[in-house]
Amino acid sequence: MAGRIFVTHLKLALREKHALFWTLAFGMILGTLFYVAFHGIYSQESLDSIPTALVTGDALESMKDGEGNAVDIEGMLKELTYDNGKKMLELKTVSESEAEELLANGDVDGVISVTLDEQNAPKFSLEIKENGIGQSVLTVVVGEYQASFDYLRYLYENHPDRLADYFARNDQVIDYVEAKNIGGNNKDPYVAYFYNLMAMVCLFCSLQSLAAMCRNQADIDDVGKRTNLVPVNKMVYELSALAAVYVIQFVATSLVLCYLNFVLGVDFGGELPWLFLMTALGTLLGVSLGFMVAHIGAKSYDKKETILTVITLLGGFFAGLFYHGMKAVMEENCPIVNRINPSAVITDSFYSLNMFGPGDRVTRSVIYMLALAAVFIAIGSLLGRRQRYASL
Amino acid sequence: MSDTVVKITNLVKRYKELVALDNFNLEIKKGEVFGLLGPNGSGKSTTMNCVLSLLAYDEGEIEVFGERMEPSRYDLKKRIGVVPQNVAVFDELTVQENIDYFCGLYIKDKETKSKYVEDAIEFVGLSDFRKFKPRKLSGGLLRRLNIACGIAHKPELIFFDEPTVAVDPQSRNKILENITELNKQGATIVYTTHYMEEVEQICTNILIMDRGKSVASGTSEELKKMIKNTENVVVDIKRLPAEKIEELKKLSHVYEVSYVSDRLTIKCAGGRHNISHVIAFFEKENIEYDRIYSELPTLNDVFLEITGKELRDKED
Repeated sequence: MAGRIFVTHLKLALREKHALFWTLAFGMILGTLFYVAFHGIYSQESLDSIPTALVTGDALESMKDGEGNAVDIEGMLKELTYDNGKKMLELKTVSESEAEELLANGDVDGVISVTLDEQNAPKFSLEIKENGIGQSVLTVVVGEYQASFDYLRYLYENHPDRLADYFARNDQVIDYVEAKNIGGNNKDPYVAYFYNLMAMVCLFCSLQSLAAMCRNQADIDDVGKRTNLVPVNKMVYELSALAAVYVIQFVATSLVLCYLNFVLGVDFGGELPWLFLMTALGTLLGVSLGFMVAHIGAKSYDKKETILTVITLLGGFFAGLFYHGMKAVMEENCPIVNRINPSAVITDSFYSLNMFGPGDRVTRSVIYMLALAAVFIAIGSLLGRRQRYASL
Repeated sequence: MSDTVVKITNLVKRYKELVALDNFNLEIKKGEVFGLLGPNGSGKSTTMNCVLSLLAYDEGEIEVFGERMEPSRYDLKKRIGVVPQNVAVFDELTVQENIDYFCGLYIKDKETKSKYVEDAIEFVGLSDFRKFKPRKLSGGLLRRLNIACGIAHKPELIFFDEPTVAVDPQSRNKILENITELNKQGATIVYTTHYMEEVEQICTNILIMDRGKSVASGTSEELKKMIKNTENVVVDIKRLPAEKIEELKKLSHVYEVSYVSDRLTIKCAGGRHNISHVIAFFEKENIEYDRIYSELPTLNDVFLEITGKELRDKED
């Protein structure tokens, strides 16, 4: 029975051409506009070194290696490069007051300070004034260096016998950052807009799942009255129809991805199968969001559509579709929004794929998207369980 | 085994302050064409939706085929067909695809399903339109498609919710013929409408409801016997002084006289040759009139006498 419902709803979704059109048209038109707007800019800006101030004070004097030489942190940071060999940081070693002035004037993206903690271990900190790609890269650099030094200290205190092996494995303190490919496969700072665009396209799928689900509701659609009377479990019916909507919408979002990738040449920075996986999961998140909203109370279709549109647009706004620093602002001030905002979750998955490649962080994104979709479907199913209507 | 197909006991349905069904009771026997008659807002559709478990109700019990009806009683739902008031089909599917889809949700066996779909298309006379999309069909044909989708799986109990609203006379007759034929084939029919002529034409048993309550029930003849009105003498007349109306009221067996828009209606209770007495009165008084005829009371008269208001809205 589920198969029959699925096939018929595939047919319905295919024949409802305007539904497919909007998913495709939105992504392609806005993608083209983004491409035209950013193409000239990012070709100039993408490989710029990040102006950075380094404040070490007396800390470095106290940090000596086995031969009594001071640890050359400045040298290590200066050696950081992008894949094409260009220096990643434009580093100035300055005093604390000078650094503050440079940051205040906007002459540097951030100030890296190295101090010593109570145990005489180096402590890295980063001060930034704004949010942006440069600041994001600096955050990762500082985080990775701190982690590496902490690990070294841990080895020194607990397993000194392993230190030699550690250093023998090709000077990891410096290479660690490069191996992680900081700056991503695609360093284009504007690619984040295309992540957001893909997120929006995926979330637009929610409108189609909303329409399909509302069609099954007796208090909204006449067909819903009939489908509520058939001898088929309502959840089986709705999930079969939802699966059909998902398949069609995934085809549409994949076409948008192909258009952006192959026609416009937008480099998302990940391998194609992974990009399709992220698109598939983003689409799932979109249709499940529509499924959930479709089951909210006894509201008219128009009201539910409005609710969904507001969620989608606000989500896009907070995820940085209209201002790319917005996501970082939310991360600083209200991180929970970035965790539950489907748009931010999808954007983050593309970002992770570009910045870190397939690995733990991408796996976490995949699991998180699946979990969020499951939550949306579970909420929708619970709300839709009450099969009798209060009024018709 | 009981031959009761639908039994409603003390059903109460409230919409906030409004009581839509007020301790409503109903019993429908197997093989009946049961007419649920009442003005708009009387509770007919609410009753039907409660029976079908579409609508939650506050109190009472509903049994279908002798068993308590619940939303998850798929075994009972399989035996029920519904023709909703509004056309409920997919615009993107053709006539045949629509019937096939809805029939397929009840009938698993492919061969049986194909045969049933063909039967339904033939039955409603849509053979020439099977490849048409609904938007290409006229209002009457759409109604027939609506019926086909509801009855293709050959249900034992079929609900028709005002299937002839906004339908041309030819299609209306075809629909009524279909309903009678389905009943002959063994289906029990529940027919809700506010068109009393249709009820009189096809229903074997009738329940008149108003404001969520059962007002009267029985066959058409039984209902008419419940009221004192036995004959209406109707006269088209241009001018009639008020004192003559008063004099008409004094004629034997006449209990009510109304004169509206040049039409005089004289209601009689019992008696024979009432029309002759009226004609004699006009001749004696030398009053000219255009047309005079006698008619038996309708279900509207039954409703009017019991509730004090018209069964059908003026705009109908």
